[in-house]
Amino acid sequence: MGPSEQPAGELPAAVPAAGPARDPGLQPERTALSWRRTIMSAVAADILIWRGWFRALNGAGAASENAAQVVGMGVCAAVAALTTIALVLCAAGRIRVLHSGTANLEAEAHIAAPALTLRTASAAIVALAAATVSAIALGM
Amino acid sequence: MREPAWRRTGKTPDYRFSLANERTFLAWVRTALALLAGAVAIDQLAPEIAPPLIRIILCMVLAGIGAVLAIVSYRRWAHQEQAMRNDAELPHSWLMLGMTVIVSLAAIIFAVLILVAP
Repeated sequence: MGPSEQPAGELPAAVPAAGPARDPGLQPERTALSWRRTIMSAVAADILIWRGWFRALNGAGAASENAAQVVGMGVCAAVAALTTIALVLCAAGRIRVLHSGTANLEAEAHIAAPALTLRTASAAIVALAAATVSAIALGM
Repeated sequence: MREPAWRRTGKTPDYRFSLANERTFLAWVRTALALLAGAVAIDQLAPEIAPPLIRIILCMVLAGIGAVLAIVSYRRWAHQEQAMRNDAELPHSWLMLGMTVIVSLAAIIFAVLILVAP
């Protein structure tokens, strides 16, 4: 129905939400968005490490003495990429559960994060920190 | 079983508290990631901010704090959930005071370096 058919000053009645029940506080949605923001932060750190590697590649030229630097920076860039893949897998698993689990919110153990996921995410950041420290040391 | 033993003790917390605890963990993880990105960014984009040795030491300290923070954030998450499972008081943490001091110190140090930079 068009707006002209509405009595003046009245809003159309709210359509009952179709589909499964949802948390009125949008807790699963907020948590899923929190994982997405975390991925974006990780990618920002990655891009800077990859930039260091590309700069080492371009600066290499004919000089062979910084071949070790190029290889080292390449390893740092690869480690950074792997840690981000690990984080994305953690986030994908959580987002899948958070978006599917709203139908049975009472199954609380089902929607809570597995300790392994958070431990993997934590370990991935430590590995990324190691890559960061190595990239800074190699850039000297 | 991959779950730690403490996850089978007490009662499972309300899912809203579990998810809030998870989001707090993720917020600290993003703080750690910001420290890492900041360390590389200062090293690569502001090479003139300080003599090379000082710059590299400062950047490595920032990255090291990021690594420690990633571990502390997991431990904090686990301790908070253990307290919730056992209906105990949430544990007091020095993490907030510690990070406030660290971020303030970093801000002061880099502000001074920018001011005195030629």
